[in-house]
Amino acid sequence: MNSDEQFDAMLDAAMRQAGEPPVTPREALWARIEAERGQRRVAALHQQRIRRGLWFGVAAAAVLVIGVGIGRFMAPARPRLPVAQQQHGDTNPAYRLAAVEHFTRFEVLLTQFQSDGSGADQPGAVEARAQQLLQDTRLLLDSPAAADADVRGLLEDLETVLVQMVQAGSKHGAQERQWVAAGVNQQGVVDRLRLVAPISPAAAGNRGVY
Amino acid sequence: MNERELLERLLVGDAAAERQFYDLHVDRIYRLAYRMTRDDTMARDFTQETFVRAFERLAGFRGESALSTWLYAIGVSIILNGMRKVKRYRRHETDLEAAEHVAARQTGGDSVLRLRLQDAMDRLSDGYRAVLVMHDMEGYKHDEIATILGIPVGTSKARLSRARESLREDMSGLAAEGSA
Repeated sequence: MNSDEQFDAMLDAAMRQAGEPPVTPREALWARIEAERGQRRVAALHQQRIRRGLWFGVAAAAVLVIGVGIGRFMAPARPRLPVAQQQHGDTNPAYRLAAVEHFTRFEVLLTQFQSDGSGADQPGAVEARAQQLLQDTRLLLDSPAAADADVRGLLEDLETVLVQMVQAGSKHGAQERQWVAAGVNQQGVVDRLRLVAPISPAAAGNRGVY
Repeated sequence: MNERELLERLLVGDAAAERQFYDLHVDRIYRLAYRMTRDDTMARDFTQETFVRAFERLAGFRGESALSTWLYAIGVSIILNGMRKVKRYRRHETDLEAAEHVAARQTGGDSVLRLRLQDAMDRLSDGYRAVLVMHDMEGYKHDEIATILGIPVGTSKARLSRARESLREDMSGLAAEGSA
């Protein structure tokens, strides 16, 4: 046997002895494998549930989008309006603001009319203001401000009340004023006024005009 | 029970068949993992992962090789990949191991030979070391190694030859010391 063969034999022997593994821990390993498989099954089920939930959400959203699409497709076509007319019941904001200020002025006048009719003002002052407001009411009824059904209804009621106030004011009779006030209450004019023209700092400021 | 019957039972999730499959092969997988890593903890981890993955992938087994060969291929892949991951960690331990080797060298010839052999094997690349361990330490045949590693038989033989040559060179100093 030459030196190479001797070395190879020594190497083979060393390799057989080197790192000889211990006895396989069969049961311990099997327990670990079973536990790991159980954990992975649970994790897989959890992921499956999440995926199902996601798909359900996507499907629901798709049904909703399709439903909205069909609804829009089936709905009768409406003529397109200018943007200004689409706001606040198709009323131009400038006209609506004018209407709101008008209602505020009317409320102030109504309060004066119901309380006394003369007050600190000179005789005929309330009548003159009612006359002015009546003209303004009619102008507003002919303007785009009346495009809003609520505003129009209120302006029409105001017109009636103002006519009565002008008539009652000319006579300056307490009985006449009470009848007008009763009519105003019956029609719920004040409540509707406050609904359409809520009290605001600007409106409150306007109340001191008269 | 032959392999086909075992496979059929495994595919329907038969617990007894799974245990039988495990009992048949766990020794070879664990021994190979231990030989490659020289670490019981890692050997257990790799063995566990081999069987867990094998049970998960059984449905994909197409019968192109023996069930055992398919299992060992999974095992070797897990061991080699796992070792690549721990190599960086191992480098940190090099200094400590070197100090231990110096102490061991003073204890006797057998220990010196074993440690030098381990050092030389550590310097081999994973592919060469796998062939050396499987053939020279665990007794696998070249055609089996070739199938498991997915390489030609000739490559397996060439790698074994080069691995041995590398060990011989690394340990030639020791042979000279022994003859002196």
